Amino acid sequence: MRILSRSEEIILATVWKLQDEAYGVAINQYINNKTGLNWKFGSIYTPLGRLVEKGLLHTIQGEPSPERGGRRKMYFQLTRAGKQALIDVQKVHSAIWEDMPSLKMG
Amino acid sequence: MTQLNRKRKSPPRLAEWIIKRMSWAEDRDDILDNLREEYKTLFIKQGKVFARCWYWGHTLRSSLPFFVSDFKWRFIMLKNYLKIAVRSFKKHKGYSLINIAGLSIGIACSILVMLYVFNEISYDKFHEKANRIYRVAVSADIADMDWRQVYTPAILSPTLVNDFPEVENVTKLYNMRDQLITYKNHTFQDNKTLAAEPSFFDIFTFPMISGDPVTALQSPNSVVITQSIASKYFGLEDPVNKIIQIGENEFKVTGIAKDVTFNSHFDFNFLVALETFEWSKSTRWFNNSFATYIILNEGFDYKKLQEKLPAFVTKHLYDDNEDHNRWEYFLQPLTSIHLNSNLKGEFKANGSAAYVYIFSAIAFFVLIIACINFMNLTTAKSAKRAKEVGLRKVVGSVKSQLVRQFLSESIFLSFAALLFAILLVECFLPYFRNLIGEQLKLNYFENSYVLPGLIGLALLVGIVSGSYPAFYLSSFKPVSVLKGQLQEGMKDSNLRNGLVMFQFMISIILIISTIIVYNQMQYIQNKELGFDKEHVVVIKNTDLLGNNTEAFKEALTSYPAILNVSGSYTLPGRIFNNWGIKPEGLPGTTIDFCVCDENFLNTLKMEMVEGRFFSKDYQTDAQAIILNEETVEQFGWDKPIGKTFEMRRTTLTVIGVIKNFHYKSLHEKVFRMGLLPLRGVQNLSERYISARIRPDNIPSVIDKIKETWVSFSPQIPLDYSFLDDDYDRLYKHEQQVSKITSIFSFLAIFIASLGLFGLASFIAEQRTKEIGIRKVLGASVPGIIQMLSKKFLLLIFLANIIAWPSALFLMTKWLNNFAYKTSIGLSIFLFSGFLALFIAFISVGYQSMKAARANPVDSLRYE
Repeated sequence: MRILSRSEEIILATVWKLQDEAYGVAINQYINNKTGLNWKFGSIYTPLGRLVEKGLLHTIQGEPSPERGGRRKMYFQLTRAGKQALIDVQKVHSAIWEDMPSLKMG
Repeated sequence: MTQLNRKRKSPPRLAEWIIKRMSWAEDRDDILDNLREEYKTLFIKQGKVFARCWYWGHTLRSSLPFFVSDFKWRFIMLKNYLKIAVRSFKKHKGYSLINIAGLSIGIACSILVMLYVFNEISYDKFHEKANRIYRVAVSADIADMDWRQVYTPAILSPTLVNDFPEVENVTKLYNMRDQLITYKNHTFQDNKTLAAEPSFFDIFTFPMISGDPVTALQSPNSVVITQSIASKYFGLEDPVNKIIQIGENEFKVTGIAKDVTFNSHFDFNFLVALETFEWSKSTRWFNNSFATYIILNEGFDYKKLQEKLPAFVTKHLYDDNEDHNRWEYFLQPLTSIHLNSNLKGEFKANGSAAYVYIFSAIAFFVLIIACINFMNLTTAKSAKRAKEVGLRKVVGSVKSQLVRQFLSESIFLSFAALLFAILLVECFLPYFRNLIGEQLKLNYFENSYVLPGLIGLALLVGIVSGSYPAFYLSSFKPVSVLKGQLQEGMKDSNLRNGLVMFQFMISIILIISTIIVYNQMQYIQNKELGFDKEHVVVIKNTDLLGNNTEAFKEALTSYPAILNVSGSYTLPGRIFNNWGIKPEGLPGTTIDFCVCDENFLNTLKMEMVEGRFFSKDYQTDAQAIILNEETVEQFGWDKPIGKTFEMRRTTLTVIGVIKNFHYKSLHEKVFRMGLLPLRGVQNLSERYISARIRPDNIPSVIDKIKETWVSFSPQIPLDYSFLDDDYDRLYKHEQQVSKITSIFSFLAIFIASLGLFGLASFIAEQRTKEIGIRKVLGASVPGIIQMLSKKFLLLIFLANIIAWPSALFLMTKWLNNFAYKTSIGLSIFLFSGFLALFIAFISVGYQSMKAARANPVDSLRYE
């Protein structure tokens, strides 16, 4: 069973958190606000594309808007497989970090 | 939101464009939209500068690694292409060498011709103010001819400055031609002496090594010499302030100038002050002896000044409304003189714009032939690369990548050819220099245009020659190619055949031209000139002998090896002065004339038609004149002997008519000419003594002449030449053209046959199986040779058909430059056609024969 990579996990988690508001800008801003990570454009959009290809995400077209020259906004949503992947990675995470000795710098 | 507002809130266009080019953003409009949204938010929150920085920052961070890896991969692919190219080269050494050889020769030709062209174009551009300098020249109707000359009067320059405020400065130059220079009892000859004014250094840029350009030519009897003259005749001594004698006057050296570079339309070793000579202050408007140069104010259009000149002429040259023939002054931009001027009285022979075009065209065509070769050979070879192409396509190459691969191959080959070409150029540059007669040097590093130019040339050649094969090769369909099916168009191609025909057509035109030019040269050399120029020694500057000239001539005649001696002011092949005359009963006109002694006729072996030549027996000969046939014909005189006319207010009587002789080059028709005696109406001295000598043991005769000369004039060195050489120099240009066209046509046909050779061998290879089968079925070797060669020979035949009329047209135009020309016979065309056919046959025949004699067993073995 293949576990999600770090960035994949972060992105999927963000999408899940943002629910219906999950599109490029929102994802980027959420990650930035929550973690302080300032990722390059490519680091967001390339994984997004890959995740869609892998079937962990699917895209939903929003309403066309004049600001975008009449184009539609693209929203992302988790698929079943995506949800499962998150659950798996969560399991693995808690399992590993269960009996960890303290990580304080001393 | 208004349109204006919107615009300002959008991200920098260039950055968006960069992002679009990345693979993750290629078809994702929404990404750009998202980014635009973020940008807008930032713009509002933190201002324009912050937003832009943020956008650019992200663009660069994302794009840089992308592009870097992109280049890295492209570079790796390039290395792969190079490897394949080298392998392909090694595998087909012969054909690759043919390709490179053809391209190298083509590139080398282009380089040499470009050197020549840049040299010609660069004349006179080294002056700082070159684009404001103009020469004032004369165009007039003299005796129904359009007479154009450099010679203008002394008073022209000061008057121009007075009348026209836009004329910033003027200067005039006088050509003193051959002079005898003496320094400290050492006498030598120099033919590059000019007389100039102080404004000379103001207008022209001739840097001085010592001395002050402003004052050097101010006082009379000063002279500026050039560096090489200084070191040659003064050695380590400082020449400044020393006294030297030039001609009859003494001059003090007031400065040393750098040597004049070769690309100047005039040249000097000595520059004497015009102030020295009283005649330079003449105010007569029709004493034309000077070259006048003006410099106009910055930005002034010279054509505007030229429009004012006719009024200027009327004002100064003629009393009001006096009737006169057309006399005009016109302006020549300095930089246009060398290629376009060709007036009477030029300091140095000009170049010719026409020849610049001709040579460029020839080199261009040779290069085209080489490129066509390359195209043909590569596409013909494509059978061998077909499998490679098919495989590459199967593994995922896109057509554009394949095009890139084959293009880079041809570019590599082109650069290899460039290296060879440079080698060739270095080898042959000395010969080329001799041919052109100019100092040409290829400075790879000095001139900032050379290296990029060469690289650009190789690139251009590579792309041009490689484009057709590249597209052709990359269009192969993988399935059919891997199956081993022959692509349609690989065996025989109309385009390819057409290209071969074009190559040979150009070669044939070049061959025909070469033959015709050569014929014309021979014609010129051998034409009956009306005098015999062979074996005549011309001794120059004999006017310096003064009263001893007669004695000198006597002394020379005493030698048996010297058959005849004669003195004259000028000679055929040199300039004949032109003067106005009034024949009896006819309107005033002009004739060319030469002053000579009574031996002139016999020494030059000319013929009289009627009457007698000058003779010492007749005292009245001082007022006699001998006309040539042309003059008498034009005057319509049946009985010319005894007719009179006026020249310089003296009445002259015609005592004889001489047969027309070509005293000018065969470019021009024979003009009205008359011979005048010494000490006659034109009191000119005998500047030249011609001696007809026995053809055997010439060096000893020359020695005897030298001895005699020294005994008469010990201080002055003997200056002599041969009349036939002097006369031939009139055709320097044509001789160059003759040599160059022969060399280029040789090269053209060489390259074309190289191409044909390679092509034929491939076709033969292609058809090995077919030949094997035919042989098995009973075809004979000659039959097969015929079959293989038929197509090519037909092409050559067709090439002839197009070439002949084109060559005829071109050559007729060129021959019209001559008043006397050779005829263009059918035999020339037939000869060229057969020559081309013969060469083609050898190239094709060898391959055909090899193929025809192959053992069918070998060819059919792997069927």
